[in-house]
Amino acid sequence: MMRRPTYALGAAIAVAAVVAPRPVAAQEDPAALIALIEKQPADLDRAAWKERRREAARKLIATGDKRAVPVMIRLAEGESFDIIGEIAIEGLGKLGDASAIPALERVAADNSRDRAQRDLARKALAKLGGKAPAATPTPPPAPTPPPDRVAAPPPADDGGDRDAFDGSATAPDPGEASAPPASDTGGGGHGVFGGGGRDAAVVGQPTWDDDVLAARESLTFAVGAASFDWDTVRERTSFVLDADSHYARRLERETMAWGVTADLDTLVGVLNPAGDASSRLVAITAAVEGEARFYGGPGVYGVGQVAIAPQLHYLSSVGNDGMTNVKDTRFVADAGLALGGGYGRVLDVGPRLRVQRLAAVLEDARALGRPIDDGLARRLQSTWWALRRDRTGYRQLTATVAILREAGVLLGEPDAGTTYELLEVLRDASFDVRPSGLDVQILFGESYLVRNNEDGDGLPDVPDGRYEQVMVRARAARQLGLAADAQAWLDARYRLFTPEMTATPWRAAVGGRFRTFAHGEHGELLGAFDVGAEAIVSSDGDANGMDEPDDIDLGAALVGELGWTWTLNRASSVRLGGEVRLAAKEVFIGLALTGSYGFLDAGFARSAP
Amino acid sequence: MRRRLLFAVGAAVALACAACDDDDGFKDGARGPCAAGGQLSGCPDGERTPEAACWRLVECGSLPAEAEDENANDWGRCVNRLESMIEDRATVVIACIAGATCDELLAPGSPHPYEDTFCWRYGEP
Repeated sequence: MMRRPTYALGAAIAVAAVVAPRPVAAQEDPAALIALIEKQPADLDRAAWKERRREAARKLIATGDKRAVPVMIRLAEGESFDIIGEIAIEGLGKLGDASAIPALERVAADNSRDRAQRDLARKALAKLGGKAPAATPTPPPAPTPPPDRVAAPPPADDGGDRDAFDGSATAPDPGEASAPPASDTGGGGHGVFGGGGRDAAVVGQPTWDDDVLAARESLTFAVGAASFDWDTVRERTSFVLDADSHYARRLERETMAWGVTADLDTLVGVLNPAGDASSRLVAITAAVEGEARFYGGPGVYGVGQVAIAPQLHYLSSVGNDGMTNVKDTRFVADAGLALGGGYGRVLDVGPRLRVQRLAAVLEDARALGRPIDDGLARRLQSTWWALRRDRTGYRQLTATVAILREAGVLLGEPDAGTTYELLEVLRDASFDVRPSGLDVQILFGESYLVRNNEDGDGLPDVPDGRYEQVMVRARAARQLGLAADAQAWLDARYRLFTPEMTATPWRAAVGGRFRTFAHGEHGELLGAFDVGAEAIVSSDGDANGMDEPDDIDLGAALVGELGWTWTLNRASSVRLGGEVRLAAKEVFIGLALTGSYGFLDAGFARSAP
Repeated sequence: MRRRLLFAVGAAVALACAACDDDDGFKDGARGPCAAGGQLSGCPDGERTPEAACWRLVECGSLPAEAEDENANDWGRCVNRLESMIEDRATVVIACIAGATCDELLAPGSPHPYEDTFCWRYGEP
């Protein structure tokens, strides 16, 4: 309790010492100068303090006092992006203390630092009689945290005390002058996040070529229902399993792009009431789709798509009399190939927005040493991709902090508040699937449809065999900052080359959707509000006399919806949505609660919009 | 800018009139994204709710949004039937409708069916 006044007094003295003009530098009080370097006085803003501490560092070096050595070592190793780091490196050479040699060797060997800094370190080493090491990449120690972000700095007058998170906030006593720099903030691996070496080395990171614009992979399971009931009162057994799985992977390069999706839906229902009655239904649906694009000019591309979708239904229903009422096995299949061209592309820029949000958190915490450049953003996203199976976020957090520290972006070990906010950024599902761009395409599709057209079953005949159509699709998406986006789409199709007396259906739909994400005070994703609308006109193409007389083959509908989505984790959510439809002279209002659980979601985006 | 706005409003009003004008007897079917043309057209699964399942039947041209005949099957009666089913039967029927292709969901007589599509037969007494 008594330390704070003493410390404040020390700081005040330090300010006075610097502010007051002195004719000779040697007359400066080293303790006051150290205090000013280590702690921002309350009456100085950050910019002014940074300027003053540089001046204080020069003056401290000029005193030649041995207490300056550990201070300069910490500055030399930690301040990679402030000129005070270079002042310190140069100063260590002037101070002539051999205990600075290991630190200077590390600086000289650190390829992530500016060449000028490494050269200064070599010159300083030469003055101290040390040998400049070969320039090999080594994990450098972490930068010195800015004093206003460290935990509970000890007072200036008890230089022997050091906080567990910090080795820089204390003005050491002369007895510590030859001690090595505090390693608990550095790359030695003693900090909370283990420094920049071990945790940053995540295995299995993908290597993105320079021409990769974006990539995405996701695997989602949705269990609509899974239940087994045995009712002993009514002697009734039922079993339901409704499970869907979806896998998607897409890679966008400058000159080509490809994507594949695979779906497998399984539905099993068994109902055995008392007596002879029973029902069984099995439905298995698989679908595989692929797309490849080749860009031949600025945004212009040729595209090919394939789709294969077999579907099997089995239904058996036995009545109370024990006689089979229904036994129905159906197999349908689609196989299609589409070729066409288009302009533009829509990219998922979510991963890059996550990087932007990360930088914003560090900036707010005044822990951002330098902007996150493209190379570092690429490295972060590769790491997240490799750790996409990490459901807790722990490994992503430790690796992210290690990388940011290693690159000098994160100034020192983050405090508890910053750590929490970083973790929330990494867990934030709002940065998954954030499309941006414009894509317009026209496709000619040739499909072969396997259907069950049987005479005498009363069912209307449906197109079977070859089916040609032209499809026009357009999609525009824009990110409105980090927490909102908007999309619009157009989708139209028209059947071609129909035989005589065959329907020519067509459909056109245009719609849009706006989403905004809600976050808590410390970046926690609370959920998302979405509102959308779609207008649809269509025709079954059957206006050639086959319809009933009062039928006109044009249909139209307006659909509006809004919803709120609760986010459970990166790939799982629950959505409560309301829908209003205006169709066939009536207004229909609906409400739905839907949920899904997923994992393995990951993405990469070279640049943000 | 004003012209664009007027055009957009006009188009929306015209579409709204088309959607609600029963004098012309607008047809309900063939509206769904996968009502024709197979997988290439894009055919996402529907939501697992009675309302969404019945809309899928309407958009596939299996039944009308609203039938003139009080006893005929339409969207409203479809929802009522699903909601009055025992839960484990309704769950399977809804999922069956949500996952089937539009062609498979057509029933005898569609779009004014006089029988049910096959999914309804699960659990029939």
